[in-house]
Amino acid sequence: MTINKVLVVDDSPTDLKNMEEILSKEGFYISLARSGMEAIKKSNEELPDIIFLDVVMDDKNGFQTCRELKKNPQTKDIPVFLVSSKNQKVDHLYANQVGAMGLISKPVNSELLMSKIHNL
Amino acid sequence: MKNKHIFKVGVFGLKQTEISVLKVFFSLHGYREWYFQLVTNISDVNQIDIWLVEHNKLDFVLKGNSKAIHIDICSSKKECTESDYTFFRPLNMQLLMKMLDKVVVQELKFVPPINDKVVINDKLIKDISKPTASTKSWQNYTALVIDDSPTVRTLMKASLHRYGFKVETAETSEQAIQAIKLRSYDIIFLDVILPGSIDGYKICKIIKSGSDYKHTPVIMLTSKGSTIDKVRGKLSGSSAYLTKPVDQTALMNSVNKLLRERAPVRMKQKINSLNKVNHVNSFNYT
Repeated sequence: MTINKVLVVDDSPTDLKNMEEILSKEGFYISLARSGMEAIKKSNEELPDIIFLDVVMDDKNGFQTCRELKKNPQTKDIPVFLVSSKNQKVDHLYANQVGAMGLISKPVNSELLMSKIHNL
Repeated sequence: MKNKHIFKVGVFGLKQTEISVLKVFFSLHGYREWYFQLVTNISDVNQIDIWLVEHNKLDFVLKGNSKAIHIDICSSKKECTESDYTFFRPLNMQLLMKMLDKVVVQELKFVPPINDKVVINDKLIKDISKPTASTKSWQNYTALVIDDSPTVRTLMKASLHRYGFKVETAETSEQAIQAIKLRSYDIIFLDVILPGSIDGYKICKIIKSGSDYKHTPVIMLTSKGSTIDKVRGKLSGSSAYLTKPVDQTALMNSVNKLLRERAPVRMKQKINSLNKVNHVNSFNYT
């Protein structure tokens, strides 16, 4: 699977910038969203090749956002990785239940991030 | 604790916004052993030590109280001739504070309290404040990063390590308070929104009220970038306020400036602790 467009969703400006820096070095086209609602809107409009989705956000959390994306026929096939500072078994389980490909823990390691993209 | 020395500063003819900013700056310098108190309601002009006067209203002060020193505030160089105590708009508060300090020392003959064994003079300050190499500049300096985001902690750790800092981290307000009580830091980076019972502003106030660590510079790092948040940050006593995502150049500019300013105090503290050790060693135990 060829990945060109990446949507990064996070309410923390530092995390957004960090992900943007990692991904831009690899030459991806990056789109940014700061909330679950914005992520859903941008996913429908831009149809990214992959989505990295923060879990703890104000309006809709990452699990809820992922569940909505997977219900929508237009976005259901886009691979989603949840990104969180929570790294317990139950979080991985929830990620699986809402249809995400996996959960990456913060702070995001660039090598791990790239391996997730290349293994798709 | 030594008695504080208060200098009363009267303002006349200044704009309301300028008075508000002055209030904030004066409150920020309240930790020193001498500080300035703003007097806006002037019932007795004789209580004023220094006047900040709008240039065209100078006559009022000169007639009312000739003993007080006046700093002449001018809007342009055309309207007034420059003297030792002329200050031009827009008011640069850092420079104005320096001028006020100069007035109290030179005109009011105030001697700032300093340790007898260490004389901090301009030469010492100049020597210590010399710019150093950009990397490994702050070796043996310790920094505390208080932030609940692991990304911020990791990035801050990485960038501070590059400059030679030893870095410790705290995730919650409780951990932060515990860390501050356990040891002293040369600089503290503080997030505003933290898990725990108190926020960053309150932690900053606690730091600035403690006698052991009140001089430690605190840089607030936050995604809250509104003017009101910045004023809250200043009122809580923070030395700098940076908005996330933090620009590395702006961060290191603030760090370098604050630590160079603090270098004489740090050296004084080190010499004090050495003096104490020497004093103990000089006792004859026989």
